[in-house]
Amino acid sequence: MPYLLCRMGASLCFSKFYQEFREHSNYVSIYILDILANLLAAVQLSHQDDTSLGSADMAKYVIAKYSRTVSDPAQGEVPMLRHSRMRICERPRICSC
Amino acid sequence: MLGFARQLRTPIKAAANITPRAGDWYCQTLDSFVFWLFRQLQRPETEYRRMCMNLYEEYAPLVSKAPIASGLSVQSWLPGALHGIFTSLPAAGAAAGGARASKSKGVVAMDVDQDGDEDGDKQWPDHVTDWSDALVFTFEGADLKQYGALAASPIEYVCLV
Repeated sequence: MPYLLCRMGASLCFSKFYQEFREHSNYVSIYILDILANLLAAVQLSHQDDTSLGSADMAKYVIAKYSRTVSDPAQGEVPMLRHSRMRICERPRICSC
Repeated sequence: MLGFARQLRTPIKAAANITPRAGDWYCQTLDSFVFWLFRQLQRPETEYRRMCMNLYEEYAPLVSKAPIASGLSVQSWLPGALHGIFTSLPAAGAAAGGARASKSKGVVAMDVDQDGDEDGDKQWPDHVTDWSDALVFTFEGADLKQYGALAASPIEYVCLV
């Protein structure tokens, strides 16, 4: 389980490079679901944190940013609706799945 | 000594080719993500559940409108999700006191009593009512012809009373 400061630091990092990330539709189609799932996990883990620390608020703020990349009409076709194997072909050689 | 080093080399090579995590989302599509969000609506953590609800409301229309290239569409996952959730409802209803969920002949009736405290009954837990809201949203927002697969599921009708 990531510590509180790790989660807040990760949320801050994702918030900072969002503007760069959204410009690359290829990366968006590959990584956005994983990013959203992990940010949701950060919200879930922050359930036991003190509210005044703001870990849940930070994660929710970043989720609100990243969720726009999926449903934004300016992005055109929703790439995550395509078959998973088509998206895997576009992916850099990191994952063996 | 060299044999020992050779034994070490194999797991290092295997670790270099390993996938980042089990159950990652690199190989998934948006419809499976929506299905996962739908299942997360049963979670007891309030903020987490609300975020899942927001994302579900945002992405479910995208999935229901677009042609799905993968085999997993809403009409394929919804019956299974309904079956799994309604089998857990009696326990939740018992914990809630007066709330009831009955199932007979494929019809499930949920007694969602919002002002139940006045007549001594207790309300459903928040996660159950949130989930029922998502269910209503799912049925309202999409063409019901898409849910023809529901007829083949154990649950044919859902009544929110």
